[in-house]
Formats: sequence, C-alpha cells, structure tokens
Amino acid sequence: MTTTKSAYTHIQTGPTRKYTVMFQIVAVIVVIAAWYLLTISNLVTSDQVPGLGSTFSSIVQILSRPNTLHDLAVSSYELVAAFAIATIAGIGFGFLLGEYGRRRAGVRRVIEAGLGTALATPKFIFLPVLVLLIGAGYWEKVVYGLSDGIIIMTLSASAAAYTVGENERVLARSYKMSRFQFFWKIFVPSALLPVIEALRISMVLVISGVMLAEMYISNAGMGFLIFKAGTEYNVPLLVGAVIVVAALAVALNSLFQFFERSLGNWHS
Amino acid sequence: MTQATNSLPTSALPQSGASGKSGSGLQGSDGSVEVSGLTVSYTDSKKRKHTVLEDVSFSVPSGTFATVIGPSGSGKSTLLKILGGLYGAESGQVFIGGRQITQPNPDLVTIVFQDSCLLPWRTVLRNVALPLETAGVGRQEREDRAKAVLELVGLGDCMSRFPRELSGGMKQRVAIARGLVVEPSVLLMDEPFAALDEQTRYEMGEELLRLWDRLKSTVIFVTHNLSEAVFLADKVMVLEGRPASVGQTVDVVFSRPRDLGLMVTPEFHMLRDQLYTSLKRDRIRSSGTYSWSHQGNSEEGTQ
Repeated sequence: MTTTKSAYTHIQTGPTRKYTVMFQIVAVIVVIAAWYLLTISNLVTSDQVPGLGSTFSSIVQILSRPNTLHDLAVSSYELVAAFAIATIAGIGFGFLLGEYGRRRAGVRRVIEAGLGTALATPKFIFLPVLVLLIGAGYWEKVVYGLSDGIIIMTLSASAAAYTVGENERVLARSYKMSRFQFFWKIFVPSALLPVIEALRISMVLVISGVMLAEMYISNAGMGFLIFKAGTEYNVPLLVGAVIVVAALAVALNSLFQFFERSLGNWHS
Repeated sequence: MTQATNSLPTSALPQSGASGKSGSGLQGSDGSVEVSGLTVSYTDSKKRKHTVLEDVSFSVPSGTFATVIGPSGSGKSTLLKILGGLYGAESGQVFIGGRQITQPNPDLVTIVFQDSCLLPWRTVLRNVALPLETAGVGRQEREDRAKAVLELVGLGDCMSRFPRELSGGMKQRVAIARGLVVEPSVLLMDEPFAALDEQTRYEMGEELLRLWDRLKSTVIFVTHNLSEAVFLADKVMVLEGRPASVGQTVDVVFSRPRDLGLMVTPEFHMLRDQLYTSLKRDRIRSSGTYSWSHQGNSEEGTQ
C-alpha cells in the first residue's frame, strides 16, 4: 500500500489557519492605520488620498445611488454570465481533454501548451481588435471577461481528470461500475478539489476581465464607474468604487476558500 | 494491532436480501477455481511482445486458502487480475464455480488490492457499501450488510470515520470488508499486507485466518513473503521461470486453527526453506545470477 500525501497541503487547517486569519486581520488594521496617518500628515492632500470618513461616506453614497445599483447590476450580470460559461465550458472541455489525454498524452500536451501560451498572452492588447470585430455590447464584455477564466478552468479540469488514480479506475472496473456510476461516484469527487481551486482563480480572472472591458467598451458597470471617477478626478468616488469591487472579490474568494478547506479536510 | 481490532465479534455476515442483486453467498457456494493453459502477453511501446505467463494451469478446491509466490515481475498480480476478470488472457481459460471468467464478476469474485484503495471522501461504512451501491442494493440493506461485515473485521466502532483517520492495518481491514460485503465465493488478495510493518502484517494474517475459518470462502493470496505464504495457506503455488508458469504446488498440512507460534517450529522452517531453495534455483536458472526482490520483507531479503 502506498501512502498518498495530499497534493493540497497548502489548504490550511488548525493552528496555521488561525495564524493566517490573525495575520489578515492585523494587515487590514495596519493598512487602515497607515491610511489614517497619511491623511493627517502633510505628505498628501485630501485630493490625492481622501480621509477615511469621506471614503466611508462615498461608499454609503455609492451604494445608495440608483445609478450605482444599476452599475452593480450590469457588472453582476456580466460576471455571472462570464463565470458560468467559463466554468461549464472549461470543466467540460478540460475533463474531456484529461480523459482523452490518458490514451493520447501527446495530443493533451500539445493542446495544453497552446492554452498555456494563450494564457500568457496579455489579452488587453486585443481588446480594440475585439471591438472592431464584434462590437462593444454586453456579450463582448462577457467574452472578454471569460477569456482567461476559461483557459484556467480547462487546464485545471484536464489536470484533475488526468490524475484520477489508476487504482480507483481498476477498483471501479472490478465492481463493474457503469460509466455513469464511475463519473459520479469516483471521477467527480476525485476531481472536485482541484476544480474548486480553479474556480476561485478563474473567478478572480473573470472579475478582472469584465472590469477592464467595462472601463473601455462600456457606459455602465462598476468598471465604467471606476474609469469615469478617475477621469473626472473624483477621488472619493474612485476609492469608494474600488473598495466596493475589491470587497466583492475578497468575499467571493473567501467563499471559495471556505469550500476548498472543507473539501481539503474531506479529501486528505 | 490497531485499536478496536483485537477480537472478532460473533456476528456473522447477513444473507443477501430479497433483492438478490448481489451475493452468491459464501456459505455453500462453489468457490472452486480452475485455470487451464493460461498465457498472457503484452506489447510494449516499441511494439515488442513480452510473454508474462505461459501455460499456467492449476486448480483450487472450494474453500481452500491458496497462496501464490514468485519473484518480482513473475506475473503474480497479473494472474490475480485475470482471475478477477480485469484483464483478458491471450489463451487459456479461467473457471470459478464452473462459470467462465471473461470479465469482472463481483458477485462471484472480489479483489483486495495492495493499496487499500479506499475513497477518501467516503466514510468507512460508505466505502464498504460501495460494491452494494454499485449493484443497486437498497440503502437500508446495504448499510445493514456493511455494518455486519465491519463488525466481523472488528471495525464496528469506526464506521463513521474517514480513511485518513485510520492506520494502515485498519485501512486494509476496511478493504477486506469491502471485498467480503458482496459475499463472494472467491476472494483474491494482491499483497494486501505488503506495506504494513512486520508485526502488524503477521497479526493481520492471523486475523485473516480467523475470518476465513468462519466464512470458508476460497482465498487466493499473492505475496512475496515466504513465511506469510506458508503460515496462511493450505496450498502454496510457486510461479517459476520466464515466462512464468506454476512450477510447483506445495500442500501445507499444518493443523488449523493456526497461530503465530507455528512460525517458530522446525517444520515450518523446513517448508519455508524448501520454497526458498526452489525459488533460488529457478532464479539462477533464469538469469544466471540470484537476487530476490522483496517488498516490505527484510527477513528473506538478507538470505
């Protein structure tokens, strides 16, 4: 019998996790304290770095403005669509690639190398080309937003499928499991943890992609709001909008991390 | 031995339920194994053909505990997988209980692997119930049967634990319970204790004998360890040569029930040395030199 060490040893539990949370809390307190000290010093003006109070007021104001809620809704629709497409298509294609790659490792390597190159290419430079080709509407922002996320999902799902153990496959065969049974009882639970991790990374990339697209090819959405506040030099609005988007990203990231931790305990 | 595992409870395996979808029943079912003219080859990446087993023939009567020994690479595990219907043979036939085996038949024969192969996301109970779940047995029945077999292997108080919470020996017990839960006529065991420390390994062997004594299914047990092979078996089959075939079959006539005290008797040593000499001769014949590769067994490795 071989002892299998979990590949997910970075998932923290117990004391390490406690110290990480403490570090995160301390880091937030330090940033707020530094911000406060900066605003009361003469090093910067309130135009450059707004005070804590005015920023907080901006956030409240931003969240209570009908226009902001509309911007939030626009961004949310785009994010949900981009994330859903990246997830479904990425997992589906990745699983197929991983399974096919068990028999044709060369094909899998070539496709993964191509996807890796596409991931490393800054897609921002293609945004004007995308606008020229397909215009600048809702779906264009979705397509731009999902472009990196779908690659990460595909690569991770492929790796997850490829690593579903030979032992488990032999076990399934020895009990005459149908393909359907193998998929739901062995394949999906085996692959779930790396897929959840990929979802988290994909989500961050999708948020970045959609925000960037909104900044340049939109007249609504949180990305557009940030861009507009920056060009109008409305610093409290700019900082407030940035904080709202960042808080949303951090909350979603924490949610996925919670799932990863739960599954990590379950898996290891 | 690990906790909660020192004695076997008195409960027996429940019989298959009304569904009858699984389990040919250990008691009274025919677990005879007949292998004739089995030849197995594989083709490597350079399209070269390698014959692993050639004209392997043997028979194991129902209810016998047989062990298979042989050097590394002699095809012991391959033989077991063919008996389990996982691989096809180039030629030859395998019959278990009079039925020809050409594909996995978990009602009739189950395999316990060297790696316990437990699914880490399932509790012990759900791991053991997996073969019944696959066979479509209802939830209540499969849980009852999994619980009964876990009691039988001494893990009645570990049902809700996950594999990561178990020791190596306990994981192998769960794997054995999973193999037994469908009440197979034949249990195939592929070096199930190879990764355990020596003391646990022999204690597990002793417990396996107690379990087998109650169930009387046919067991075919592959091992590298000569002492283990002799201690457990009614019959030791030696795979010799390259490609391998059954070189000799030794009937082990020590009385049962056996305990570990048997292993210090001169008769035990004589029999073990006889097998050792046979394997050594075969090795020298095959390659001109002698080396005996052991997995998890330092005892014979020094000889």
